[in-house]
Amino acid sequence: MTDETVLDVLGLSVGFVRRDGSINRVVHEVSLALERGKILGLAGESGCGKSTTALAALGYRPPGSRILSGASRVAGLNLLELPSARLRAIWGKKVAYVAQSAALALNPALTIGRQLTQPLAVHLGLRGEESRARQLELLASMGLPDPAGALRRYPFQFSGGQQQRIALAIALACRPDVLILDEPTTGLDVTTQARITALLRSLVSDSRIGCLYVSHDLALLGAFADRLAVMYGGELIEQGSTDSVARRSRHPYTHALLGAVPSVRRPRYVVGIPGRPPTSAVLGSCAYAPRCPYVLEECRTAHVELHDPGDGHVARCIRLEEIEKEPVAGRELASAPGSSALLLEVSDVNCEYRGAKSPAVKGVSLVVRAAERVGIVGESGSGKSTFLRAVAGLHRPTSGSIRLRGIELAPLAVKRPRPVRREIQLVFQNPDSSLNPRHMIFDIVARPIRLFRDDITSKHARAAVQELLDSVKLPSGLLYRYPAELSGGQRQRVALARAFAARPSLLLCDEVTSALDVSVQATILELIAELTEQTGTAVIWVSHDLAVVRTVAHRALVMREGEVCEEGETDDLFTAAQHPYTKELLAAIPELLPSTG
Amino acid sequence: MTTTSAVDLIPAELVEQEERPPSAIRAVLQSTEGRIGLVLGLVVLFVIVFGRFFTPYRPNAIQVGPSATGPSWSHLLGTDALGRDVLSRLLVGGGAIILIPLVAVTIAWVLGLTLGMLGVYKGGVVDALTTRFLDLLLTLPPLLIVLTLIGGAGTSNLVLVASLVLVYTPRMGRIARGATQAVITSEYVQAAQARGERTFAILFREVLPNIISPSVADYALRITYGVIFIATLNFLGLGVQPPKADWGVMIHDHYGFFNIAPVATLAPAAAVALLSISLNLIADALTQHVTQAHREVVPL
Amino acid sequence: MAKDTETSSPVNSVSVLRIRRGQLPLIRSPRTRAIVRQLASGIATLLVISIVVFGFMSLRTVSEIAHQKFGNQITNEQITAFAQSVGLDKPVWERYGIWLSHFARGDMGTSFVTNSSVSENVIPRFEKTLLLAGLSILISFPISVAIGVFQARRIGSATDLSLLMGSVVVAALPEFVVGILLLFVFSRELGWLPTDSTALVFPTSFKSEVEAYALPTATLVLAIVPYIARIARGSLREALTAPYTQAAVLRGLPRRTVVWDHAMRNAGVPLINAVAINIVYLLSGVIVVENVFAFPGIGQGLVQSIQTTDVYNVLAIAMMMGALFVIVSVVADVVAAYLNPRLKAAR
Repeated sequence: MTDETVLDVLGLSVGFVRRDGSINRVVHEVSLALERGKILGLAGESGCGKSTTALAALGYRPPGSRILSGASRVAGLNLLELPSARLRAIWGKKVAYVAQSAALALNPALTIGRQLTQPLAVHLGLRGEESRARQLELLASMGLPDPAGALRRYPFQFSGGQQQRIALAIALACRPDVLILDEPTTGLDVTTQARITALLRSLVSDSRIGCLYVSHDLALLGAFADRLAVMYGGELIEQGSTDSVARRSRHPYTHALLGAVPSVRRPRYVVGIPGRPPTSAVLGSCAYAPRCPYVLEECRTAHVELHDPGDGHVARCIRLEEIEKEPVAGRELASAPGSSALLLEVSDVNCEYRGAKSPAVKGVSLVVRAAERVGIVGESGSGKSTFLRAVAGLHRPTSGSIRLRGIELAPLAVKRPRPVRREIQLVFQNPDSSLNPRHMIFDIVARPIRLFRDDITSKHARAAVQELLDSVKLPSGLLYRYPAELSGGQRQRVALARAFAARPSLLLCDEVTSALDVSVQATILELIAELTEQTGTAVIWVSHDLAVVRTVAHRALVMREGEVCEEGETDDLFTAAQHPYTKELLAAIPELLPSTG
Repeated sequence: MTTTSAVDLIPAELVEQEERPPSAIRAVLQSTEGRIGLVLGLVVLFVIVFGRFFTPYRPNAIQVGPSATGPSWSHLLGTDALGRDVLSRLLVGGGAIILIPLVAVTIAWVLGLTLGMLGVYKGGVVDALTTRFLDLLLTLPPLLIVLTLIGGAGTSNLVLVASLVLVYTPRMGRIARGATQAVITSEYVQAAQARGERTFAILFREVLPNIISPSVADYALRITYGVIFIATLNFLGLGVQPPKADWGVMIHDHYGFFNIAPVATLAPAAAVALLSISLNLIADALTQHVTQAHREVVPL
Repeated sequence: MAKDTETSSPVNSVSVLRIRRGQLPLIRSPRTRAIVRQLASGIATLLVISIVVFGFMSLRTVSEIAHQKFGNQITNEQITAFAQSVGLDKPVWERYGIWLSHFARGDMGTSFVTNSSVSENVIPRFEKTLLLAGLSILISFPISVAIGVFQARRIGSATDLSLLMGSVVVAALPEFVVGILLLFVFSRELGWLPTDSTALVFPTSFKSEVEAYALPTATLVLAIVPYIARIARGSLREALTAPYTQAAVLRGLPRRTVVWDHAMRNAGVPLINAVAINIVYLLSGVIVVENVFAFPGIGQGLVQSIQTTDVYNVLAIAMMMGALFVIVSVVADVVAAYLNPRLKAAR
């Protein structure tokens, strides 16, 4: 601990109380330190305990949680032992927190001015003109246009990015020493995200704040954090300078994670991690052992401590010296050359929504050949999903034509002939709602079989469904379960199985992996590539994530506000983009330091 | 190692474990109020259905005892103004109060569900018209409308059922609408549409199973409202008519003699209260279960 | 009577008739325009109520009415004469039109059953009912909110759960049962209060008037409080568990600010809306309570008029109830708009 340390967390353990009274330990002995002017990125996938750690480090205990051990020191005081009144004096003043969704964290019923006035009055005693001056200064420094007007407005009158800036302004109002952010840019466009992280970077450096940034996006953290800490199963499994962790990771999990992160610069190198992470801390062995390719017998029998080779880069692995030298896994995702047969021809399609000011899709044309994978990239509002839905027959275009193998398709699916409906299948984004929660897995996958596969009788349906589930690498015994009993990744696989059940020639994928963790996403990407190559299915892949599109598609379109800006082979498009918007998008993507080796 | 008291504004709630939620029936059986409601309800229902086999006197026989007396050994609950045995009348008096609402609410439920689901799914003009029409019906104060309908058309069972259907269909339709709206934009519905499935297939196979829970809770709730409604109408003399033995009618008949022999009024009042309380407890347990799924603890 | 416990997206029942924006160019302020729109919608609602009521009541034939009034010995010529004298021989729509034209000018007509002026009968009744309903709401609302807040602060605790079950039990009791129980305890057993409210017809002293209001008000309060307390509890709970509340806590704001400024502000709107919806049921409850206590208000008047098919009386009462409901809805919307900034901001 140096003079520059503003937050010192030691051995923090947090648990949740279960219904029967037992404790579910979700964070175990986490130690980290924040230094002035530096950003510490806390990375990990869902369920690893990073958000819980961030909140607990503040001394905040959400309903049902208990701090089991540890200390969190700010200015010499242990936050975990302070009574509520003293904590309230520190929260907002010395330590600030920004939650994930600004839209939710800002009170919809109060003006921005009111929400800024409160902490200033309570902590600094500022009122009247002084307070107003400071508020205007804050909003201006966050890059908000018309600060005076903004003070009078309500949160819902601002865009997502602006709301997050406002949340930042409120957090920094009293000039805290410590700033903790939990996934503040999730859900924002990549360009907005880039701007906000840049803003954050400069604020942290200029104001000499110690910052903890929690995120699941390793690439994002790699691009702008000074130090990186990775969590798995409630424990810190690696921590060090970003450079060191990204280039010479010393833990198999970090290693695997780096291999699973799609990169715009390293096309088609994505490897998933089989298995699932634990839901609570594992104390008798290494938590990662069941999934680790480097596992030894000792890993399974005793808890592993953090090993420190002395250079400030620690890892919770017995074999850390070896891991450091391993190159990050990269496998070429097999890519089939597109055959020349024309499958889908979309000409000059326009789509509108009733009551909207401008059309969602303006004159978009697209050609897809058999077995080809085409990606459509765009930010929110670009019209890419609407376009896909029009192809699927869920949205009636106002003009234009869609042809499958030369035959004109009716705009709505229900009017299309059965063979056509069989050939085009759709997979959605949200694993929570793509499967009917009241239907069993068997029924869900068997439905398209019943509708479209005349070659399978109802006697053989069960075997056919099991075969499909095997092909998406789902464990057996899931036939008669309900979606709620499966994880997000497993549900997406069922959705895939359902899509392939009909033996489609064209698969439409709408942000299929956007709601999944990176390692799960990588598995799904591998799976899709494998399956589409085996079956020769063409794919239209819609995503806001350029890196994913780079990994998956042969060709890509870039859409913006309903129009196509640029189109081409992904290799050309991403390395030699022409259109300024494409270039802007590419520049905004955070890139992990390339791992050579 | 312990901590000081948390700065919660609400006390610590237990975090639910990830499990498949129990079915509605089990949930009702597991909750205290559900259990009390079921026991009470079964007792009352037993009386309503089988009470007629236990009557010490014929329920409608007048002057089997002196007029308007309190409880005695020969008349456990006393007699009413016409000398009829209160206990006997009590044992057969619950039929209308439970049957009429049951029939009416069932009809209203089916109608409401169909209109609600269809309206939301079809959208456009059809939906706008249906909603406008239902909203209109909702602005009319129920008791007022029912009373005027009865005033015009009489007090037959048909009119009573019809008036309840009139009052409850728009309300149940609105609940069905709300539930359908939450479900209709789900991706699994869109998946079914992309497969080209027809409207009714989608509504019944995809939508209905997902709205059945709140719908059933609403059904239970409306029955409780219906019971109160009919009992009140009978009490006002505008429902089931004397000399029929009905709990509400018994109170109506005996009202002037309240001071002399209160038991003859209190007993049927208690019977109505017990029926209503038991049904309400069950309905509430169901409603709690249904909204449980959406209960949120402060997120992390 | 039946009540609604829904708090989310209530029917803005007054805006049934949606006037297009362009039709009120002379009025500039959007808020005034909204109010005018709602009032117009309210008048439409009243019209609909009058049509429905008139229609239903007209199902009763003239001969049935005549038999009711004069007994069974009446001859057919006497029936026809009676019908002609009070205008019952005209077709339904003509009768309605005549009534409407009179009513719009403030003339409520003459009852063909009692042969007395409707307004003389109805207006004094309406005043008393208004007082009764007003008192009930004024007393119930703060009590309900207090209980709701009390419970919300202790959600899940034994106190909360037992209060909850208690409220289910009380809410389950029909108003007339509550009334009878109160009568039994306070009037018959304890003798503190009179057995009915007939004293109000010819009041002798202020004290006797107050006594006459006591039990009916208490009954209505007991009927309303469980529902509103439940809604308040749920509404406040949602606000207290919302992300913006957590964010406010983490800004180090004092407890009072968080609960009142952040949480209650958001909890208020669904509460007001829910109360507005439940007003309808309050009116139903008033009808019942008045009959339990022989309270000379429009509820008792309504039942009497219906039993005698006194159409014009029924209509006048229906209109008064409807007007009451419309006014309450408009007020509720105004308050909601004040609380909810989304409605305040320029549309």
